[in-house]
Amino acid sequence: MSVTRPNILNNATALQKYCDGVKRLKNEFTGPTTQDLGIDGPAQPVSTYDLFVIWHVNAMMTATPANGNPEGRNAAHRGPVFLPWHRFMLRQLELNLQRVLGDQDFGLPYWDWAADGEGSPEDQLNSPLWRDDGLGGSGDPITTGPFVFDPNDDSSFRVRIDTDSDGNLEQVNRGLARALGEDRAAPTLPNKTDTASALQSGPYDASPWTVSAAGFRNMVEGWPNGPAMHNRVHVWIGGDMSPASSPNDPVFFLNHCNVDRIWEAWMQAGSNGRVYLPDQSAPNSLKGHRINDELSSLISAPTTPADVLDSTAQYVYDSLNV
Amino acid sequence: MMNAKSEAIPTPESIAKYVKQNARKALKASAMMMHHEGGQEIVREDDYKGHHVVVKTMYHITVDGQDVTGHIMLTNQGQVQYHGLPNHSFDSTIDLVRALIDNFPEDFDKKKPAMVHGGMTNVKMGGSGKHSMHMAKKAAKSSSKTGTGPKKKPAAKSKGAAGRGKSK
Repeated sequence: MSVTRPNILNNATALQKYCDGVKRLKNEFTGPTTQDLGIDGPAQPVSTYDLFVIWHVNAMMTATPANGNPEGRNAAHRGPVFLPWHRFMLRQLELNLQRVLGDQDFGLPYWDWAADGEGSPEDQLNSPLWRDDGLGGSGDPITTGPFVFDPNDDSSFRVRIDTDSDGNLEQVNRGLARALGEDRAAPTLPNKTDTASALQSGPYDASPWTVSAAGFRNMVEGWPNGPAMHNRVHVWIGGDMSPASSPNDPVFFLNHCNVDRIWEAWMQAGSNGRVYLPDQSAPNSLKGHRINDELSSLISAPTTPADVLDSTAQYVYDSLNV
Repeated sequence: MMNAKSEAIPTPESIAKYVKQNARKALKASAMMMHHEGGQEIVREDDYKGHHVVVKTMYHITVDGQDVTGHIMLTNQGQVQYHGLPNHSFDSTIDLVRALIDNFPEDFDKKKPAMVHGGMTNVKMGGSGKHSMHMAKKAAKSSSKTGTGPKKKPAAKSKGAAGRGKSK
C-alpha cells in the first residue's frame, strides 16, 4: 500500500506524529552497543534513531573509489548515489516510524524549504517550523519545541553520538543545537528559482561523477556555486546539522524528504523519466555508484539504485510542485 | 518497485541482526578515510588536449601545534572541502580551519597547549569568532582539565561548539 508524504507545515497531525515517532525511536534500544560500532568509550546501548546517525557517518567515511579521490566521492554523497542512498535511508526511517507509531498509513513529512526561502531573511527565521509548536528554534542547546534536553529526564531528547572536528564518532550527552541563519556562507534558504533551475537541469549525472559534474544530482546536492540547495539547508540551520552526524537533528529527514520530492518531480517532469546514471558498464572506480551496486546499509537488507528508482508503490507526495 | 528484502517491516530483532551483520563491513570501509596523521597528499588528475595532468598537493594543518587529521578534499576548481563539515565549501584552507574552530571550539580548546606564544594561557579571551564568548567561558571552566597530548576520545561527555550544545 502506498502512503502519502505530506507537507509538514500543512499537516499538524503529521508533525505531531513525526516528533512522537522520533522520540520513540530515540528511546528504543534493540541491542547494538557503541562498542559493536567501533565508538570509543564505555560500551553503551545505541538507540534505533542513533543508528541512523552512525549509518550516515559511516557511509560518508566510506571512500568510493576505495583508494580515495576522485574529489572525495563517498558511499552516500558527492556522487550519483546521493539521491538513491538517501531515498533508501528515508524509507527505512519511515518503516520504523510506522512500526513504533503502530500506524501503517504514516507518511514521512517533508519541509518545503524553497517555499520558506521565498520570504525575507527575517521571515525565514520566523517560519512556523521553528516555533515551539514546530521543531523548536535556535540555541546551544535549543530551549523550545519537542526536542528540548532535560538532564534530569532520561527520556528527553538528547544527542548521544556525534562527530568531532576530525570526523570521528564520539559519545556525548547533551542537547540539540541549531544556529539558524547564522553562518555567513548561507544567510538565506534556497528558493523557488533554485528549484525551478534544478528541474530544468540534466542529465541525471555526468562524468566525472563528482562535485564538479554537470547534471541534476550535483545541482540538487548543492555543490555548484555552493552551498546551494541541499547543502545550503544544512549550513543555514547550522549546529548539529553541520557535521557528518547531521541526522542528529530531526529536521535532517525533513530536508532530505524534500530533496527526494524534488528528485521525484524531476523524474516525472518532461522527458527525464526514471533514468539513473551511470549504468553497470561504468568502470570499477565508480563502484558503489553504478545502477546495480549495493547501497551502504546498516539496519536492513541492502538495496540498489535500480531498486529505488520507482517508489510509487510505497509512497507518493501530496504535491510535486517543488 | 523497491527491493522486497529492504522493504520488509523492521523489528527490533531484525535491526539487531542487520547491525551485527553490517557493522564490521561498514567500519572497515570507513576506516580508510578517517585519519591523516602527519599530513595528507591530495592527487588531482585531468586530461586536457591529449595530455594527462597530475597535481599533487600536500596538506599538513596544525592548530596550536596539534595536527588536524580529518579528510580534506580539493576539487578540480580549487575549492577546499572537509569531511568534518561535509556541506561546506571554502575558497581557502585558512577559511576551512577558521570554520572548524568556529564549529568545534571545545575540540580546539582541549587540544591547545597550556602555554603558547610566550606565556599566554589557554583561556581564549575575545576573538572574532561568533561564539568567542561561549568559547572563552568554556575554556575558563575547563582550563584545568585541558590536556596537551594527542586527542583521546573520552567517555560520554558534554560538548560545546558553534551551534553545538553543551549540557550536563
